[in-house]
Order: sequence, then structure tokens, then C-alpha cells
Amino acid sequence: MDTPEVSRNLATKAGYTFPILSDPTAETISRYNLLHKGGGPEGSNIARPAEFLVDTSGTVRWTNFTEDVRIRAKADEMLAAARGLK
Amino acid sequence: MAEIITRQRNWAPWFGLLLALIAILSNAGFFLVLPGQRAIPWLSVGLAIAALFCAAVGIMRAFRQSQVYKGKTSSAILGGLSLLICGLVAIAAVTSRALPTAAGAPQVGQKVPGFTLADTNGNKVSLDQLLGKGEAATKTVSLVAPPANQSPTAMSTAMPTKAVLLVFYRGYW
Repeated sequence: MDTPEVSRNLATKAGYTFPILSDPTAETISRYNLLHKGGGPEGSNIARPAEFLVDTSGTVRWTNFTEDVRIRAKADEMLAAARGLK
Repeated sequence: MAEIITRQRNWAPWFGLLLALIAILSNAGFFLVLPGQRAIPWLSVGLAIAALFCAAVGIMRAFRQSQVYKGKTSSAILGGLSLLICGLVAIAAVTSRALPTAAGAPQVGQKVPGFTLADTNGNKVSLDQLLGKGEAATKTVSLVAPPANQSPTAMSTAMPTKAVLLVFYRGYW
């Protein structure tokens, strides 16, 4: 799990303007049932890749759970899902 | 003497090595954001199997039909290289699919659990804040990166939050 400092360096380097949140205890990741035990560097616990589009009522409207870490949702797929919301 | 002159070149192991190289290099397709990226894992494994088949054909030709084909040493070396590269393709295929199931994760139509986590500046950010609710409703987050000359806050005052995209990623490593 990356610390806020690691994420800040990444955001600065890559020019990201969206918020990057840090879950050092994996509490939120576990609550979403997305924990990948020992999947990180040196056997650390990380999240399995997942994307959720959540509307203002907190309801999931679109998800993407890849079965292969090499295949991720592309920006245009996620934007299309967001544009499709009424 | 005439037999030696007429022995054929053994192309199969060379073709096998070429296929093995394409199989491993096809992984670069994930970084090039090509439209067919979902087919790449299968393409890669398929090419690796074809590569091993060619290598096996080459070795059999060289050793069992040595009166017809040349290349005992070269087919062995090329076959070994192909096997090594295909081994890497197999490791990549197995390790990248070694993911826990997402069956227990929130599904479409369900509510997501709330959270409060630190952002890159150490400020606590809650899901409700991101969704534009509660006291921090003015500090919403836009889905689309704003133009370079606009800060995210300037953008969000003009556009009410419609939805939030939550991305669980595996960290930068």
C-alpha cells in the first residue's frame, strides 16, 4: 500500500489532478472485499484491481474487475460509462 | 557425398524462435493501449505453443531425419532458447491471472461502503465528500481532468458531481 508521500510524488511526476487516497491498513480495501493477500512487493497485502462508477446516492452503476493484471479498463471505457449515466 | 549436398536447411527451429519472440514481445501491446488488448494473453500463449511445436519439429527433423535435414546443433540451441522464452510467457500468463475473486465486491445496483482516507497531502477525504454531500459539498471532484489552466476546484464549482469513479490500484512499484 502506497503512503500519501509515494502517491504525492507519483501525482506530481505524472501531473494527476484527481485525488489519490491511501489505505495503509487495507481497511477500506477489505471492506470492499478486494484484498489481494501477499500480492504486493515483498508479500505485502494490496488491492486486486477494480473500478467502480458510483452515483451521488452511493450506488454502483458500473464495475470492472479484470481477471488479468495486464488488462485494465481504459480511460475511454470509463468515460463512456460516466457519460452513459442519466 | 551427393547426399550431404542435397540435405535441406532446417527452418522449423528458426521459425519457432521467431514465434517465441513474437509471443513474449506481444506483451508490449498492453502498454501501447491497442484496442485488442483482451486478446493479447491468448494470442501470446497460442504463439508460444506454436513456437514449441516448431522447435520440436525442427529437432525431430535434425535428429531422426538427419539424412534429409541439417542443423543438429542449431536446432538444439534454438529449441532451448524457444523453450526458455516460452517458459517466461507461461510464467507471465499464470502470475498475471493469480488474482483473488471479486465476487464479494460491491456489484451494480448495490451501495458501496463508506470510507475516510488520507489524500496525498494527508487531509482526510470521505466518500460523502467525493459524492458532493455534507459540509464539504462545494469541494466536489470532477471525473475528467480539467484543462491545464484550470484548477480542479475551479472546474468543480461549474459542474455539480454526477458520479465518482473509484479506482482500486495496486500502487506504484
